[in-house]
Formats: sequence, C-alpha cells, structure tokens
Amino acid sequence: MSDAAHTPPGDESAATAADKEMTRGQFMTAATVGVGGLMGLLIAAPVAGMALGPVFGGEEFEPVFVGKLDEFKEGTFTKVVLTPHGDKPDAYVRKKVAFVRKNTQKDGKWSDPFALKGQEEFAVISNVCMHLGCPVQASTSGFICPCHGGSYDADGARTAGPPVRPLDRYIWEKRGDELWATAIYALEKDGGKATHRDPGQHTSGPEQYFYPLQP
Amino acid sequence: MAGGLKEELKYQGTRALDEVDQRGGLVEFHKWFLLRNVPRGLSWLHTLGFCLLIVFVNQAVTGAILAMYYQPGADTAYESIQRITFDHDFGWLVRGMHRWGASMMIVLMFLHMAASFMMGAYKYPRELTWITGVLILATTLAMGLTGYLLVWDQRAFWASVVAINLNGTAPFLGPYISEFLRGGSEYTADIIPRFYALHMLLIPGALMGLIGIHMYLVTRLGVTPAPWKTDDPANDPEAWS
Repeated sequence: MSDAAHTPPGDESAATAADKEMTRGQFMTAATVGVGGLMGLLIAAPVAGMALGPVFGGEEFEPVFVGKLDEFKEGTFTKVVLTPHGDKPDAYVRKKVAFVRKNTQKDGKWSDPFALKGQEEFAVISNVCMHLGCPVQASTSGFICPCHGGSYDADGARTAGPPVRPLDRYIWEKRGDELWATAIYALEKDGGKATHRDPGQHTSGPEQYFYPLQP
Repeated sequence: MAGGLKEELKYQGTRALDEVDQRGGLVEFHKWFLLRNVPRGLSWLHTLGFCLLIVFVNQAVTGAILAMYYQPGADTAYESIQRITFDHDFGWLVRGMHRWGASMMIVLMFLHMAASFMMGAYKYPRELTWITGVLILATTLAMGLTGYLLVWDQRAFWASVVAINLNGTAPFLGPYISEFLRGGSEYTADIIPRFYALHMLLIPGALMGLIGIHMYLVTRLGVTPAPWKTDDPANDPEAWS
C-alpha cells in the first residue's frame, strides 16, 4: 500500500501491480504473524477448551433415592435430602432437598394442579427458590425463602416476592416400595413442563425469549 | 581516614547507579513517571487513585501471604481459615486487612469514579483512561465475587449461589456465564479451586495489566485540572507545551 506513493501519478496499472508485489520484509512480517498466530491458536485451543469445557457439558441427572413409599402422607409435605452421586467424596456438596407430598384424589380428580400426566400421585418439589437459588422453607401457607422474601403456595406457585416461576419439580418413579427421582424440570407459570434452567430465568412470558439456549 | 572511605563509597555507589541507569534508563523513566508538571489547584480528591493503588498492593501482598496457609478444597477451606484466624501469628490481622481492604477498595473505587466524573476527567483526551477505569471496576467486582466464596461457610456458599444465578439471568449469554462460574450444571467440590484460580491468578493478572495501562495513560495525558481552576492561566493546556 505504501508503495503507491512511489508510482508515477496517473499510472493506475503500475500502482496495482506494485500493490500486488510483496517485498521480502512484508513477506517475513506476514509469515511471522501468520505462522506465529497459528501456533498460538494450536496451543491456546486446548487450554481454552479445558476452561470452558463445563459450559458445554450438558446436564447429567443421576437417578436418586427419595424415600420409602409409605413415608409420604397424603396432603402434607415430608422434607427429604437427596444424595445423588453418593459414591463421590464431594457428595455432601451435591446434596439436594425436596419436599414430597402424596396427592389426594377426589371424584377421579387429583388435587395437584401442576402435576404432569402420569405424575399425579406424588408431588416432589425442589427447595431451590426460583428467584436466585436460596433454599426455601415450608411455611403454613406453602413455602417461603429467607433471602429475598419469595413466597409460594403449597403447589409451588409463586404468591409473592421476586421469583420468576413456580418451584422446580422432580420426575419420580416407583421402584418396588421405593420412590426415586429420575429427572428435574422447570415449570411454566401454568405448570407446563419447560427445559430445566437456573433460577431467575423465565419460562413464560416475553422474558422467556431471553434464554433461548441452555447449555 | 573515615572521610576518605565515605567519599570512596559515595563515588563507587554513584558509579554503580550510573552503570545501571546507563542500561536501564531509570532516571529518565523516573522523571517521566513522577517528576511531571501538574495543574494548579489539586485537591484531596486527586489522591483517590493513588489510595486505590495502595489498597491494591495491600490486597496483593496480604492475599499472597494468606495463600501460604489457605487450603482450597471443600473439606479443608473452612478449617484452614479457622487456623489462619486463630492459630497463626497475626493471621487474624492479615486476614482482616485483606477482608476490610476488599471493602475499602470498592468504596474508594466509587469515590474515585465520582471525583473523576465531577472533574470531567472522562473527556477528551482522557476517554481511554475512563474506559480502562471501568474495566478495572468490573474486574475488581469480579475479585469480590470470587473471593467471597473462598471462606466456605454457609453465608459464603449461599451468597455465591445467588451471585452465580444472578449472572445466569443476563439475556442470551447468562446461562453460559453461570455454567462457567459453577464449572458445570451442579455445585461440586471443584468450585473452590475454580474460584481460587480465578481469584488468585486469572483476574489479578488482568487487573495488574489494566492498572498498568491506566497509570501509563494518566502519566502520558497528565492530571485533569480541577473545574474550579480552569480559569487559571497556568492551567491552559496551550501554556504547558
């Protein structure tokens, strides 16, 4: 490019020819930057991969024992500590807490408005507040969160405070006389099933389109 | 003769310094960096940046010493901090310096930002200084976030859960940021070394680089005259050159 100044004015073809001609210095610069950059990329790629790997690791849910079927009483919640990956040394960091209720049936209709098809018999509700993830506690009217005052009714629907969606629920299955959780899912406002995501992320309303991609 | 020895030492010392300076250009750098003209009417508000530098050095040094005794692991972190606080000599003091210095740094940073804003120090030709300052603010807040978890008590854990989920609510990229901070979709024991590496190595490295650029720009562009002194003929930029 800088060679253009040295070409006679008015001689367009000579100027473009000079532009295409590469000096040794320019070649050395381009080769150093190019080859050096390539080597740098080759070295940096696996390092960045190790740092960012967990972001794209997806979510694995190990089925976990919830309790014996006869532990859970109709209409009232039992607090259960779930210990997935119980064999791992850091299992105590991975512990989760759920509230389990046996739902009631009246005239063939189940009492739980949020239950998925085939999941009406038990409600296994996560204790993770859907504002920012603090643990909720059972209250006389349902659940409340100590951090920022989020409140939920006994089905996990938000009644007050900042939470953006109902409490997450676990998919359960019976294994003999035991109750097991096999998956966790996020709820839409009306109880519909949404892909699982972190607390604070909407599942309904226009804000749900802020979170189109889940790692 | 005592006098002769003193003279000789002084001569040899000066010569050694000259030899170093001839190669390193230290006197020239010292003049450029510290012995420069400043506008009239400087106030205490102009010293906040230097205060921040001192607090940063305090954080760096106390952090490095704390790292000699801190054991980043889910089973060891809390107990090692108990030992730092109650067993090691002056552990309570060094930990306190680091803990209160962190709060002090955030407070001073906002004061420094407010003062710079009020003085119009973000205007031409100091826009880059302001931009690097904003990056330093963000980086320092990240230091606060990652350092808070390392205490590994209940408050540290749940505050970090809240902070990570808060990052997750950012539109579009949020879920990826929270996964990066958490190191996956679950909270595991790996989160302590992860935050420790961020707090000890990655973020401080970035912070030191940014502070270097920030101070280079301040030195190169000079101190902003206080707005109540811009009428002073001595503060006319034309008069400086």
